[in-house]
Amino acid sequence: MVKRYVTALGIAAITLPTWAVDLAAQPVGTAVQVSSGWALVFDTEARYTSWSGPRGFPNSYAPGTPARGSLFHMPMAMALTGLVNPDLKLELLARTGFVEARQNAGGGLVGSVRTMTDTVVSGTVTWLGTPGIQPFFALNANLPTGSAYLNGTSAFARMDPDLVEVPTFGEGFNLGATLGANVPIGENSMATFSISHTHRGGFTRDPTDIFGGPDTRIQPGASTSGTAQLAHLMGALLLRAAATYTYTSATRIDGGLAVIQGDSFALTGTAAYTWSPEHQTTFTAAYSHTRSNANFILALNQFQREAFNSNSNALRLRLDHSWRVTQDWTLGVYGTWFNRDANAYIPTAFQFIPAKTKWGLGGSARYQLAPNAAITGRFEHFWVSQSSRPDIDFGGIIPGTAIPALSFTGWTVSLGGNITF
Amino acid sequence: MRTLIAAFTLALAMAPQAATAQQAPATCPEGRTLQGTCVNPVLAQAARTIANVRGQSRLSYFILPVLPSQDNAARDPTLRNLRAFYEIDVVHP
Repeated sequence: MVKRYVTALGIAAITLPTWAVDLAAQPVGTAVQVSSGWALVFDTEARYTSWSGPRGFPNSYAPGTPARGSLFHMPMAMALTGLVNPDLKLELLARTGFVEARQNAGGGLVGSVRTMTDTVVSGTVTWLGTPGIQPFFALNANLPTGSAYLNGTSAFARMDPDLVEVPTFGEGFNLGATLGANVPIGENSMATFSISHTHRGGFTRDPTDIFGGPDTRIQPGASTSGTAQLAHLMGALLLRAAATYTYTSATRIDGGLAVIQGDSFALTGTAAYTWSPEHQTTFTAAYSHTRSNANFILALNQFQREAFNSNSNALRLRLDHSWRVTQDWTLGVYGTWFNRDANAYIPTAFQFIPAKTKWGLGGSARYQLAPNAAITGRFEHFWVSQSSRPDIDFGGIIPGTAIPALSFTGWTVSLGGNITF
Repeated sequence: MRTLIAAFTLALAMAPQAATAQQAPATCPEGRTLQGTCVNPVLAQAARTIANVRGQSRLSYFILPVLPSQDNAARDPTLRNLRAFYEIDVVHP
């Protein structure tokens, strides 16, 4: 096992990129592709996460104590970017990966899975020929190359998404489109408006209920969203804000209408300050609110808005600082804080997602191997504090379903890189 | 005479724009502003990526349409957690 990881890390180390367009700001030392020629980038990363805590996942399984889990994830992608003609830019991307996950908790809550992940392909065309507005159209697809269906105990390899970055291993064929436009306001400001629609295909997965029922056919609802952004560069300070509103249509389970997830509203803001050519600090805040769901009531043959909002608000803050030590070396440190403010109830799975706070501290080192190739290593330690939950009350209390307050710790290490041709 | 003055005034008013257009490079990788200068490529590329990622946050449970090295900047746990649980979570045994 260790040997395989070392091999994968080695492969990642020799195949790496740096072309990244950071969503916050360009990290110190990162080159921006402004050539009108074509650029082919290969980018990969090997990530390993390990966690431990007093209970396994799901936390409602009381005998699952104590617990530990791990996840190895190796995403890889290729991107091709260039100008078809002086007024038309094309960006293509294909991304897939490999994942191995395992959970080992008391009471038989033990499972592992090793599989490819789904594959995402993306294409974006941008019209550059009209001064003052650059419209773009993006078409993305999720190809179901992963494993939505997990046999037997391998289903226990699904872990808390706050502990590992891959909480599930596959879904259906999804197709999404985004139509938008960049509206530059002078050289240093930009407004961007876009609308998106994502059709989500059905897939069959192992049973979701607690009674060992038959396989479950999920037909997720489509989603439609609108996003508005504003960015402004003020000397050494970059400010950026984005707001997204998303509407989701009804999800069907085993052919029957089940639920309409509440509309969600998400906000994100970034401030990045370049102190000197060597030092840059970036602060990012992200917040989301989801309205209450509408559940399908069979007896009434209609959807009914739930009496209380079972969705919670989520807030994440992140502070990064990067330091370009030499022409080739860039070091970084960062801290993150994430909070979910209330217990969220998932009716189709009889599951509660508990209120939670997560802290993370990490560092990174980046080495420029050549003008067109770089490698990056990262390490992060995280702590999760999860609130207690009382017994479930479905018109009557179900004894023994309460979950005490829990604390988890874990770490993630990664090595990745990219090369541009 | 009046026509000449009007033409001179118009020429003066347009002079800065003409000068700006002359200074602009022949090729701008992300297009031009209304004033004819090049659009800041960092702002333009990041804005397109954000529109794509946030607008289609339900394209995949955890794979983003960006390079893996961009994940740290693009991934936002406030957008994905509950959604992932909603449809794929499992309660065993």
